[in-house]
Amino acid sequence: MNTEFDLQRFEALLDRHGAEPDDWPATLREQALTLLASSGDARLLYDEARLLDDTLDAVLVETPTPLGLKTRVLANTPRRDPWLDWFTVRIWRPVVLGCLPLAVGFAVGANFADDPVDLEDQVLIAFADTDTLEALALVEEE
Amino acid sequence: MARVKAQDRDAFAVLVERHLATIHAFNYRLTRDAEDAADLAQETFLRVWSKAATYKPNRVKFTTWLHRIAHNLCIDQHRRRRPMDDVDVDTLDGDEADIDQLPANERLRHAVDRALADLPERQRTALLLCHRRNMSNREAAEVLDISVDALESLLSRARRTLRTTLRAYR
Repeated sequence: MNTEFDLQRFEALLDRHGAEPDDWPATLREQALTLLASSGDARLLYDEARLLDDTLDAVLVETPTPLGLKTRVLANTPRRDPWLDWFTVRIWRPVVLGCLPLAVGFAVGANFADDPVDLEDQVLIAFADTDTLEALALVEEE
Repeated sequence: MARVKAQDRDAFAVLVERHLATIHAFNYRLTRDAEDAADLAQETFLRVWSKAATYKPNRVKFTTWLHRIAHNLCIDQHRRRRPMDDVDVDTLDGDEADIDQLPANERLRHAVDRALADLPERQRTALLLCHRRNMSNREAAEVLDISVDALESLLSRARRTLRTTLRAYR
């Protein structure tokens, strides 16, 4: 292995993932730790990256949340209109659900309406007795 | 978050309690202004409340979604006011004479703080998101809406710049 190349890769690893070995990709961790254990230059780079992480910890910790901000956030969160809730939950949704079977019925009916029975036949079927219908069926067969 | 989607205010209060400090700190680091950071934190949570129904838990982690909202609001605000890279570093922490009196580790902290403020906005954001594994590189890339490679390139440039600052103070 080329030491110069490995140092470059090690430096790139530190720049991309920081100095904490647990944060390094598992595929590179073992190689990186081996290099760190054997190379003084790698150790210098690692110490520098560690110092940067520690200094960033010190820099980034100093941002206290203003007192009362949580209360302000919650106070400014709009409440939903109870009338709107009542309308959507108590009226609108049941109406939509109630209409659903009707809509399905219409859709099914529309699909089976390709071969409509004419009005005269519908009246006949509705009002004729069984004997009349059987007689008509026999006439149609002949 | 499912309860917040159903507009449960108690659940929302828990969510605010849990994430407010993180979002405020993130906003403060991006804006360098305590008042702006607080206003933007409030706006961030207001968006969470009003857009909760659009959140897709199977597509993105809540913290990623939350930071994306906060970041976009910070960007929008600074586009309206001034470029985010124009942070006035001279107003950060007193004048040079005071700084020279500080112990070595404090001077180092101060130098890194200034260098961080001087970083281009996207490099600074990438570092803030990923420092100490706040987020994985993949999640941070989602916040910034860039590829993981592009995110790692931002991190790389940011850390190199800060390491150069460290060397000058050691």
